[in-house]
Amino acid sequence: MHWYSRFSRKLVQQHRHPALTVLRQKCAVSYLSTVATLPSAGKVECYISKETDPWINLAFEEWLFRKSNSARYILYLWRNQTCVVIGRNQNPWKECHLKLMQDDGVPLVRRRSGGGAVYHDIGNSNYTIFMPRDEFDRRTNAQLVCRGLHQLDIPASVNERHDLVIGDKKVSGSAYKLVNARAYHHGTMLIDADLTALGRYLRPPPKNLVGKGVESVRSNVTRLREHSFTVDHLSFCEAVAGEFYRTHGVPWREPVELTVDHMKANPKVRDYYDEIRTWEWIYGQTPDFAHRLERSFRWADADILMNVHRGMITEANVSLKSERHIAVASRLSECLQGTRYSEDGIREAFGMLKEDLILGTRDLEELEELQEWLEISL
Amino acid sequence: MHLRVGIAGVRYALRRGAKVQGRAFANVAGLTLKTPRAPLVAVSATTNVVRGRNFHTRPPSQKNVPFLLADIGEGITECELIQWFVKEGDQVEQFAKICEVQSDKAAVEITSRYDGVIKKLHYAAGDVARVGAPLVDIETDEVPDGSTEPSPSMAAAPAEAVLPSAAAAREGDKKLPTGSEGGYLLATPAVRRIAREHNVDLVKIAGTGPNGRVLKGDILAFVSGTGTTAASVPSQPAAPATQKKPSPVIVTAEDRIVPLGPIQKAMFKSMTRSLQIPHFGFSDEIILNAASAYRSSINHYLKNAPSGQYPIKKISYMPIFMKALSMALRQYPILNACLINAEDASKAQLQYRGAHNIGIAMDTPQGLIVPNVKNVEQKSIIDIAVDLERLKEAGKRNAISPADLKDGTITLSNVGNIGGTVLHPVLVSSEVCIGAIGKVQRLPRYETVHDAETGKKREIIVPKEILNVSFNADHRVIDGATVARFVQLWKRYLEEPATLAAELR
Repeated sequence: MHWYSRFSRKLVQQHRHPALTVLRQKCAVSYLSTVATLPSAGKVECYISKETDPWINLAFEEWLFRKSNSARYILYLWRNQTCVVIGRNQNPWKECHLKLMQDDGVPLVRRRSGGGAVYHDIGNSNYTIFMPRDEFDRRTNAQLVCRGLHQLDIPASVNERHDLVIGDKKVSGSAYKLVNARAYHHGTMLIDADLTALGRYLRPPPKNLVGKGVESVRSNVTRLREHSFTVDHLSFCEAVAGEFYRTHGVPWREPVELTVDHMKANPKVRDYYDEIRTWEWIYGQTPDFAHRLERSFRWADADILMNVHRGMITEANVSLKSERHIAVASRLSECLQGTRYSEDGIREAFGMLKEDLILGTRDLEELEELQEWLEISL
Repeated sequence: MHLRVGIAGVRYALRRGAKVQGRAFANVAGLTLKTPRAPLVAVSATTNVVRGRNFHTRPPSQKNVPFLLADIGEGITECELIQWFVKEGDQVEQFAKICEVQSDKAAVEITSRYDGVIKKLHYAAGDVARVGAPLVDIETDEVPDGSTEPSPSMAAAPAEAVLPSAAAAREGDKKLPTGSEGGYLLATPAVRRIAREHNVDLVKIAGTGPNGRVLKGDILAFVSGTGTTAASVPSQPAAPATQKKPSPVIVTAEDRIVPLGPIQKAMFKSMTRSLQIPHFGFSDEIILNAASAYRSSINHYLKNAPSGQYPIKKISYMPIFMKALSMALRQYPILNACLINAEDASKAQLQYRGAHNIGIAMDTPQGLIVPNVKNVEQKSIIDIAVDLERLKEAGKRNAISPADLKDGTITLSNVGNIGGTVLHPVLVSSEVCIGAIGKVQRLPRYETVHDAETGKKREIIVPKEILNVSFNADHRVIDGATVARFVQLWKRYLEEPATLAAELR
């Protein structure tokens, strides 16, 4: 109700006629009572999510994408709690600092569109525009959002990579997904986001990791807050929705609010939600890569090469360069094969190793050191 | 498997890749049959030749079609293949997901264009796929030999006949508007064709595919259920005929459909464009008596000039009108301008042009064209007349060059040759002003004279040569007052030719 009262207050400012305000409030009451089912749509629709769980929001996005037929233009506005979102074909170990995220409780999310890694928090707003496939164009919708920003008095422009920039600093990144008859363009908008956290999480420690997949293109960023004292998520949503309706020549209509009730009422949303929370999707969709780790311990020089396919170690080559540890090295290579490329997987492999070999206390201590280092360096 | 078949069957089998044994080879080469025994044809399991004899509803001929990676736009030439949704040997339907590719920021799902079986995947997940190169090979029965079972005896003829019509049917299938995919996709185009062949109404069949789609199996089940398979086969020879595109409708004698000629097509395009411009119209009358006298004296001079000094012997009114227009444009250069970047008010600009290239609308046997006389501001009335004469001659011979048609800045249309008083000419889209000149009429007008006898002013009726002109201008950049003043100035030059001479340079 709070969100809606903001909207109606703005409308009061626009339309001072009291009867109109009363009419809109009446509409609000009747509209809120039908929250669980979506109203039958015209050609142009706008949705806004009240949830901040990144997986619920992505599930809503996939649901809106797949359920509507080609002729509709839909705008979907949302924002997430703190998380890092990587593209469909990216390597999280290469793109973000997973250890730090784990320590700080920042989840990793993989979206279905392409593009690079982004940091979301409650000061970052997202927009998604759905359109028929043959209308897809990278520039048009970026310009639409840009015009929305102009309404807020923010001097944004679209650069040659179709990102929104103010001056030479990026405020928004975009990604796209195209299927047979539909396509969508979604993007972020840094309004109030914590830029230091962004820098921390999106800067992984240097590692010798070589793989396929899309790499993020890093740019200098700035926030809308630096250019306006009054902009916030709601005013951004209103500006973009207004521009969206104006571009498609339809009068303003209240955006439909999406809540967890919609998830309950539509089982497909639940399916999409479950799918993107699985380890297989988040980590298992990483394209093949090879990771080489080297470290000198006082008891041996470790040189480990792991080939990873779909998040599982398919081949490991452990070399400890020490006579005493030949058995350990070869057995570890075998144990690592077939385990997940994650802390759990490493723990599992070492567990298997300790069962197989009979090791003295000194060996066990050295193995502990190796295991700790491996787990940290992933 | 060895079977005996007739000569046509042998030829058919060879086309399908079967091997023909020894003695029979001579027969196939065209020599006469020495013994009456029919040749042996070795048929391997894959050729499926003789199975055509049975009323088998599955087409015997399959073709491996490479499905190319289509252009995904944005000038992208290659993209990474992220995952396959099918494996080799899988059955796919048209519009089923095959794979997902990714290029920098865009993830694209590729769907199948054909019904069929995946024969070969050209890339592995993680490879870089090139746009335009084959992505998968699909074995499909839709493509060239699209008809159902040809019996061996008439295999050759229907095969040829089917090829062009199947190609035509394929064209029709490909042109299916994407609108149908979204809302009410009862069946894919391939399935629709099969339904047509079997004369089955799609609406009657309950679909078992996704979203209630009707699949090929549904149609075949429906058909075999009602036992129309046997009945449909004798109509086989007719089937290729029905696959052809319908011939154009023959209309009755009263109506006639005629395609647009090239000039009409050009007019269609340019008028559609021009009439999106808001026009402001201004009409006025010009008393031509003075101009008429002016013209007569010029013609008299030309007639008596030594021959060879001037290439023409007389002029019409048009050179005088054009020169007066050019003089008036010097005071109102905005009417000679051009609007650029007109789609956006914030980006639109006016380009003032120095040259006065006045276009003359000409009516040729092919239609309306508008060549222009270049740099009227630098030419004398006689020079303009010479140019006009050249353009008229060229127009009669259809020899107007593109250079004459380009770069016009303002247009005068003299449809008064044919008739008309008040006109509404349509702007040329690269200009902002156009004038149309109607016919000259001799009409009575009042004039005030000073009566010598009584010393008082008196009004009398005198005949005058009256010419109606109508000007239209682009109201986005030119206001009515400017047009009005411009036309008044032009009118003054014509009604008082002395002022025309006074501003000579």
